[in-house]
Amino acid sequence: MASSSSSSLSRVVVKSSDNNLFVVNKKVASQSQLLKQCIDNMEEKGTNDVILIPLSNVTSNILTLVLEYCEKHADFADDDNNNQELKQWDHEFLKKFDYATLNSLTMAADYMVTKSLLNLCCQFIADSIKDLTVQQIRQIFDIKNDFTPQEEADIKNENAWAFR
Amino acid sequence: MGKSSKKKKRQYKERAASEDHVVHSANSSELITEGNTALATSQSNQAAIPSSENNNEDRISQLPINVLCHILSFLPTRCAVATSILSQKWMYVWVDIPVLDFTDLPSSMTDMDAIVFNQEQYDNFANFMNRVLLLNSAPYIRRLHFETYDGFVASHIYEWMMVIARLCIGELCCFAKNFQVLIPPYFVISKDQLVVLKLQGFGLVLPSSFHLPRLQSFSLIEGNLSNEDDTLNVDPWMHFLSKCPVLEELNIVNCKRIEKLSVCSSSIKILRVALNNAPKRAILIQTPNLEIVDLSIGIKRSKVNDLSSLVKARLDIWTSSVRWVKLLEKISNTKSLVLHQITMDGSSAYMRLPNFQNLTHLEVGFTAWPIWMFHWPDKKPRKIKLPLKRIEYCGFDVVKGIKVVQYFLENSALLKEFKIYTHRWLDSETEITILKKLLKLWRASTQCRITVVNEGSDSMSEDSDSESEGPVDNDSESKGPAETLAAEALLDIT
Repeated sequence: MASSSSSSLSRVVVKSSDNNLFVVNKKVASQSQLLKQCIDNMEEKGTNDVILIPLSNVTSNILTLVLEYCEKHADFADDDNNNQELKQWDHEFLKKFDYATLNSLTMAADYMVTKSLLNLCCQFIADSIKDLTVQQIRQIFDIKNDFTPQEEADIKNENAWAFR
Repeated sequence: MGKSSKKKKRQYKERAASEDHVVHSANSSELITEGNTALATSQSNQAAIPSSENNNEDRISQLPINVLCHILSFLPTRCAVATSILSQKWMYVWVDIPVLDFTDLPSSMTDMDAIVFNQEQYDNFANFMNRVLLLNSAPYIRRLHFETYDGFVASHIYEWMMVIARLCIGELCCFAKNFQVLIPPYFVISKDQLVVLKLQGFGLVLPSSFHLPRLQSFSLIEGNLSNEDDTLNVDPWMHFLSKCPVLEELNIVNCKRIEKLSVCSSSIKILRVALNNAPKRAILIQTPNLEIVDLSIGIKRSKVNDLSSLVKARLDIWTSSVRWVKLLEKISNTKSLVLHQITMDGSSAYMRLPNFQNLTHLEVGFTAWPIWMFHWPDKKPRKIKLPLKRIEYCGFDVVKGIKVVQYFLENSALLKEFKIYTHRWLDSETEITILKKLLKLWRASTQCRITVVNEGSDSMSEDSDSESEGPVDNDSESKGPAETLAAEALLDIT
């Protein structure tokens, strides 16, 4: 990226939707394409001020988690050898959360364009619903069944194989 | 089926799109980015994260359609389609998933020993798959994978391929074992997005003009390639490869009608050929950038260019001894060499193996190659330095094996471990005699541990596996370690 060296800052400030400020190392922030793009754009303009990036859709609870993830992955960014360790960490990281948090985290990952975190969350959700019944999935995700019995029967009929 | 499905598909699509739209318009107004308006627009296709308090919609369904699709793409397609029953919002999500995996079949369909054979379930599955393929409206399918079993019929597979021909796909894996379904020429023409193509049990007919500009990996198993235009007078494999400018990996396994194998490509890095079921063939290999080669083939004529960038080679070939050594010369730059089941006929001329100067890993399998055909390196102790740290010697023969062990102990100053597996079970008296003999041998290495595993081995297979670090430090007078090790494994067969 052609940024003038005088204006490149090592830290940025990210503001959560509930107006908490997070000071983030640039390398960590770059794990999110959204933040990276902000930083790149600002640097291109040659701003010397501290870059403030407000994220109106991410609460501080969730932002803390996303940044925890980004920090870990930034640490490993130049290191291919510790892939296994990182995978293990990823798994432990997600295991802690309930489905509500997991959802918010997935949404934040999508919004902040943190692709690896989005993949991780989606894979995790997919794995956890794979062997569940329809009722169980509705229950854990709080999905309301808004079909009439007839509609439900029609759908089952249309894609019979999927419900065998 | 065609027309009504299409109509439905459009309806689904519209519905999905309108839902999508609602989510988006809600968020673009919320997205504020100070000092960077360009970003707000560039990110406007991202959904907002609603605050959970004043939203009574369920949790997971708040996720934007593209994220729901993403989740479903990690599931077998059957499970993904089953989510249509969850709620209205979920009803059409599966229509857009970019990964289609149809390999999730019940064991009653895949296990050929199953007692009840029910044709209906195969038909039902075939219809299900047709429906999913027809309705899918993802602009680009990242991966599509199916496997068939004996209960399917060729028309099922043919139908799928006709639909697949119309889809834009990155990775396509179609396994139709025991079938021979002909894929018409227009199939390849429409597949210019393909990156990976794996086919089993298909005959691919190549049109005279096509282009696969992105294809990186191609595997053809139990299939065959042919030209639509017979008058073209070009080998179909040559023809195919000339249309794949970035192909890096080529696997040819038990394909039919290959009398002459011609592989000419400057992009190929990995080549695996297994043609076990037929007589010897002529081979032509011109792949200057090849890094990994794995050949299981009988060879009657060969033309192979120098494979100077080779790193790994595995050979399981049957041919004349002269041609065999010639082939070894071409691959003598390799770092890793695995020789399997070497079968040779013809001349028993004095063999001189090439000097494998980069070799760090060698495995030699069972072979009918007698030891007197080898030119042993100078055996003066301590003259040759082999950089081996660990040697495994399988199929140790009581009579001739000691000589092999002696040779390596005397010449391997870095050796830490020498593991010997006996060829057959030894009684305790013989074992003690052998151990005594082994312990008396002079060792170049001061820290070498010798282990003897007394096996009652039925298998005649024998491996010699040795690894070392760094290039071989060759004495100019001596032969490389490859020769030595190859000889080692051969000794006790004779």
